[in-house]
Amino acid sequence: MNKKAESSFENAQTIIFFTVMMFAATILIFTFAFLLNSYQRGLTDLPGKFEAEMVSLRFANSPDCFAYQDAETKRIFPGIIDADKFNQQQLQVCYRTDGQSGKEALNFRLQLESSLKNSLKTNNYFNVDSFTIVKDVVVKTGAASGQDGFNAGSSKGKFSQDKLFIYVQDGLI
Amino acid sequence: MGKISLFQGKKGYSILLTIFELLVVIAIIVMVNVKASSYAKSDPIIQKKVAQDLALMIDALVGFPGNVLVEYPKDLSKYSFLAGSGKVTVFNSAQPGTRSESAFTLPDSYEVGGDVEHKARLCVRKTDRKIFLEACP
Repeated sequence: MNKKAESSFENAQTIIFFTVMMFAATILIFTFAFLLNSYQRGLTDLPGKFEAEMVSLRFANSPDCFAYQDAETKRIFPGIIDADKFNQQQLQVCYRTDGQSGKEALNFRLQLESSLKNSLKTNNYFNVDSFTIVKDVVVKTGAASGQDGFNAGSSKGKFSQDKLFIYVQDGLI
Repeated sequence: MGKISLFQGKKGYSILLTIFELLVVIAIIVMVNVKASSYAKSDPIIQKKVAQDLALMIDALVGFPGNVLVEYPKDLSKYSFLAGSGKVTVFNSAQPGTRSESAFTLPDSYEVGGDVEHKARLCVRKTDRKIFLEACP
């Protein structure tokens, strides 16, 4: 091989070497950026269950949702669900997500153990349950009755122990 | 004598190169970890976490009947806050252009507001159906 051919062979080798190195360096930089980004997401991500627990506090505790509020004294009874309020209209008042971006937010389906046929859904709930939260509640129904087992009667209505099933859809996208 | 001969010749050169490569790899791993942990403590991450905390606090306060005043347990004098339109926004004046937002969902009858600038103590006050961000009294 003459000197000229040898030199162009070495040049070609150097070019290939640098091309491969540049390619590898680019991949390395992108990988690092991606790792840093996913690390950041991991640091700021909220566990869906925790967020759902916080948001779902309102269902049994807020009079703007289903909590029973005495009409005369205006006293609120957290943990006691007013059966008269437990309907779709009230849920729309209590928790309504945005029509556009609401699919990414938490959405809920609510059921009482005593009436499993009746289930309430928030406006962007599409039956994709991520997990379920169960809360022990007391349900107040309008009709008065005497004392029998768990049911205690009063002139203001009947109170009975129940379970509130909260099915959570933790973002569709 | 035997130990010195270990790093001599072609085989020795190869062992030395392997050790050097391992050291470089370890150094890179340590550097990445140091960089990542300093990044974790950096302002944008804290800013994002504060925004999430405040939005969650507002969500949780809806579930408390009655009036409530909660103080955020951290010095927030670096930041400014704006609450409204279903979200909390946190600004950092030291780094203009960086803002973190976090959304919350309230019942229809609720009202949220508040605009706090560079106060060390930040409070969230719930009065009846109004929730406001304000400097702590």
